[in-house]
Amino acid sequence: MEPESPEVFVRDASGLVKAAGGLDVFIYNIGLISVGIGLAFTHSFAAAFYPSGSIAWASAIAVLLMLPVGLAMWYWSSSLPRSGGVYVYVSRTFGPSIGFAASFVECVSWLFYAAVAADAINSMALAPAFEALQTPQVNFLFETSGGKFLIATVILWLCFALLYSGMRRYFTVQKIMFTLACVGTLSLLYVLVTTSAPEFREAYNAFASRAGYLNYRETIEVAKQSGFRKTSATLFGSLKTAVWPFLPLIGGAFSIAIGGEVRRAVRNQRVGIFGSILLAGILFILFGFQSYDVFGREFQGAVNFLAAQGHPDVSSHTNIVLLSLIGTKSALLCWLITAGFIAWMYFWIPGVLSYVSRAVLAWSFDRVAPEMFAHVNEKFHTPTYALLFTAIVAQVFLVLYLFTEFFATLVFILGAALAWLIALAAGVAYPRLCPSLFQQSPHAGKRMLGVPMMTLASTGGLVGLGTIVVLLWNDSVAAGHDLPSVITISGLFVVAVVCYQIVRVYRKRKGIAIERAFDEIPIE
Amino acid sequence: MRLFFATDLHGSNVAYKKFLAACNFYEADNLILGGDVTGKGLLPIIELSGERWLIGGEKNSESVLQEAREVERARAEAYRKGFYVMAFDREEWERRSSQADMDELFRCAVERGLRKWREMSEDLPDACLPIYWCPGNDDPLFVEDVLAPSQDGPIVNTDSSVVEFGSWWVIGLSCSTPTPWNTPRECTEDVIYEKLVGLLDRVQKSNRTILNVHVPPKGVGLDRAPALKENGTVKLEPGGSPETLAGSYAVREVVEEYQPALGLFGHLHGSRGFARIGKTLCVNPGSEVERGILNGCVVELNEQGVVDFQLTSG
Repeated sequence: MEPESPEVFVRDASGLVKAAGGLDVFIYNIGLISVGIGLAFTHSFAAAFYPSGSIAWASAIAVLLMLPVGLAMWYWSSSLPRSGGVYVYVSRTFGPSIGFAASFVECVSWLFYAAVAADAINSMALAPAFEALQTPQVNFLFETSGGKFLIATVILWLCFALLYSGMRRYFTVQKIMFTLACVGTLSLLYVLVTTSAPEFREAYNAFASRAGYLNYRETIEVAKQSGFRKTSATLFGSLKTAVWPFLPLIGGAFSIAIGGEVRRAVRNQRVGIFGSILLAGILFILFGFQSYDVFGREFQGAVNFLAAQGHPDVSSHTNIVLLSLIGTKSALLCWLITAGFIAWMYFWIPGVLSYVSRAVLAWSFDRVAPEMFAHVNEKFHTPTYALLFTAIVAQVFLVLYLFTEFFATLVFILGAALAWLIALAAGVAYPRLCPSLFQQSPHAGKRMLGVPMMTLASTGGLVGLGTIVVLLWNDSVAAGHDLPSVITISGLFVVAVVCYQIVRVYRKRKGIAIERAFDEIPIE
Repeated sequence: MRLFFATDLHGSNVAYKKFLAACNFYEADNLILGGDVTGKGLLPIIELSGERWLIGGEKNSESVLQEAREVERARAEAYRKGFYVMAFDREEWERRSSQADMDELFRCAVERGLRKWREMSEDLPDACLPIYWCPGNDDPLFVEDVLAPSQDGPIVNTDSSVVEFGSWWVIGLSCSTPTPWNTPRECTEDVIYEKLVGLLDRVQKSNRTILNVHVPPKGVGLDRAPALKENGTVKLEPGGSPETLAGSYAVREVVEEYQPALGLFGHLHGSRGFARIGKTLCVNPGSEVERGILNGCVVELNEQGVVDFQLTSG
């Protein structure tokens, strides 16, 4: 009889801490996908400006394009299970100069979206809620640029204060907000499932009558006269639309930032990354179909089209939040849905501030950023200046986003996507450029036709994300490639590379070669 | 003077070889090694009949290997991760099954592993020697006798000692504050304070002193550890993972009071970073030896103190 498999004898040594499991990683990622932001932006912009796109099919396509990206990031996070994400992967493979540039561009991009999310809480959740409840006395806050700026600024700095005050308080708030987000999402689904198309039309007409807006049919007619065209949904049209649901799905791979804390990374990152992408994708698809059934595809496009044009006879806060609130007669459901959206949009802000401040801290530890960014607050043990820096940058972006036309909504996603493309390219090259490190990876033996699976997966990720980049490049609504945008994105890369070189020369004079920080020490 | 510091190697032969190679790679004048040199566990490999091997693993996992090269691959991975490998035939394995047996086997494995490290160190050029080392809280009390049996060898033990090199002094302290795992070297804060003060009082110029203390100072960013649930797993919640601080108040107090030039710390593998306490540069390079990566720190010193430094990940 065979003896039983012996267990590894493991000492009770400190540091042998069992880390996070698959469910933990899943919750982390789904919080950063921000279903609310995805729904709000997709159902506004996609409905209005992509008449040949089906939101549901676009969401499905976004999932299909994101899955290979998730797969590549899974390979990375389980091959090099260290916290730090893009900065670590690219520095290790292509060197710290490119690693810093990719991380810098990525972080700046995410901070822009933290500002967008701060405004979205106001413009896409609070404002529609107050309008649906028809409380004109507070509407002024949401109408004026000053009011929007004030609310978003308060939200941004509340998030900063929350993070600054310590992680324990932050996680307590996270738990509450996650519960709210789930309840709100279920409430929204309930409303869409239990409201028929005729009931919605009737409710919308009553709302429009009270508010002095165009009714349901008039909205469609006026939109057509203004240039809106309803066409049948096509595959290519839905492909172009996919850029909108794709952005939030990137959050499904954000667990690369906490890779060092995940036990059994192969299994648990797989559960967390794919589980969150698939669940969010299913929700996006479901809401896509349901919104068409209840609101009507043509009406949803027409009303959002007119709202985006600033037409005075439709609500400027038109989005899925407003439409679904109009469709329900329950004030309780109204506030649950609103709270859910606010919670989803909230997640993105401190999540990004925390992610970026960790990157800034890492740059400082690697002697690329000033030493002050490594300072930890004595009372709360949080990185004071790194956090402050991220909040200030996000604040600046808020100003630019609200008061200038310079930044189209998704232009910075192009920057972040390019940074991730570099990380994916690093994934293609990693098995060849870092063979001894790769040999220690759990994926070292996995090959197809002699090619490491990590290389193949990263190539698939390049195709998936590359498709989105091409779409964004050619999409003047989402991003485009006008000269200011190109200068902005490429300028960020150039600034980062130049800064790194300046620091490298400065340190060299003191006897330290920072470019060797990630060189592997050779042994026989 | 340029020195290279690494810590928490946990028995990884790959990491120790890189540590020795770091002297030439980073053109260092001196090597300083932190504590926790002992491996994490013992991986038994049992030879069955018909050229098959049963390899230790987690409960209920498949672990029969049928090719010698698979065994070698498993052995190499174990060494990289800091596990000691021991081979048995079936009868021998069935005889040794008690905890006491495993403890004894583990001790033998540790001693063998550290003897090998000492032998490897002897091959270093004289310019790189000696290595100044201090044990850590995970290291059993017998490790000094194996790795640094005398102060004349390639490795000098600095634990609870003041060791002079050039115009500098190194002071080491191995014990940490109490941990959930009841490790071999744990002290209260009072004991840590008294020991360090006693050592620093022996040095004429504390600003020419380098601390090689295993447990980092509390609350300056070098002692972050994941908060644990009651079952020992790490907490992870929407948006991130909560942290706790596992450093020493006593160490911090001593650094504030005496202001040595440099503090080299370890213990918390994931808390890689640096901080200034007054004029003292404090560094914890962290540890990733289970992935074959040697984290370290290159420090450039002159007569005035620390000129510059760089955290490395090789």
